[in-house]
Amino acid sequence: MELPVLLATQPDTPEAQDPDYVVRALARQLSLPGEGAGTTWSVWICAHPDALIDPTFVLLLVDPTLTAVHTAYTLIKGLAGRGCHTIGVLFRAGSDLAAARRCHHHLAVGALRFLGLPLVDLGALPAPGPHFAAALAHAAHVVHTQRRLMTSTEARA
Amino acid sequence: MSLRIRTAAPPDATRLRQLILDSLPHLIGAEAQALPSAGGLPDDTLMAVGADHRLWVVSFSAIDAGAALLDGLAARREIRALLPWLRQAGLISNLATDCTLLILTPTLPTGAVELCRKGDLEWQQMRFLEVNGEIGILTEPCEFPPATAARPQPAELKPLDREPPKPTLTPEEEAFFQRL
Repeated sequence: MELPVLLATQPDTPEAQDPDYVVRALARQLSLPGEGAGTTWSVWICAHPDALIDPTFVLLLVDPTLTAVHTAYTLIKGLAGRGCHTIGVLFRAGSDLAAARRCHHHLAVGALRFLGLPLVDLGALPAPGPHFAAALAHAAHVVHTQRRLMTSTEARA
Repeated sequence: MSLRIRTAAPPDATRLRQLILDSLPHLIGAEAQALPSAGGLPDDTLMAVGADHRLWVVSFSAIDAGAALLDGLAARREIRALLPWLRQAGLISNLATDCTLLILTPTLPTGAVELCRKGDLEWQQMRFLEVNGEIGILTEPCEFPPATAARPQPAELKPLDREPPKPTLTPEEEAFFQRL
């Protein structure tokens, strides 16, 4: 199962988790026994949405800043224009979960208002620790749920 | 005294392990020493160190070459993770920074040729002989010349003339995303 990841993050931010690390951690979490049994997940960072061929489900990793939210919305608009309407948003919150919640709310409202596109909320990743693991597990659970939903919708169609 | 040599059936796992331990100086050099098993290494593997401080993982099987290859790769992965601990415990020299995998099987494991060519592992064919009623192993190293067949080359990538156009935001969208 392919899960491309687009980045709306500030590079060279030492206090934030490296996107490569987040992607690897998410791939491991997705492939754990249980919900992940029987499916091999390939989670990879995509440099530009135009590099995606026939995107179905795309994940955005976003920093909780105004600039990153602007970048994320531009990416979402580009994806929507190419027919991708299932976009998961995961915030790299660090120590400011409240800012991540505000940013997510703003991005979700904007996407719905201007594009008519509901975003899939994968939550926010706090600084490393037990809460990080729980947030990662939550994100993986939402991805699994979304995949099941998409599979059943395709089967019905 | 005449020698009576004939091929023999593979010995049981315990005897095979002992035969390989006895043959370590021939396999990986004089003064080779087996190390105590560390971690959860598979049964058909052992760890040894040569006089040149090189660390070896020896994986062997008399009947299942594929299992020996897979177990050897797993054991090497495990030992690589244990290298700092092994150094700290004084079991290996600080000069040992990696370990070499040696596979001993009667037949070449599937897929091992490419790994041998890449220098990722070494394989020696192992056969069983009975000499004057005593069972022994005969090991023969194999050389794998680099593949000569030309590999298909990826298509030449050309840089994009320009960045793909970014979607433009309407004034309403710009205004909305100027503040939180």
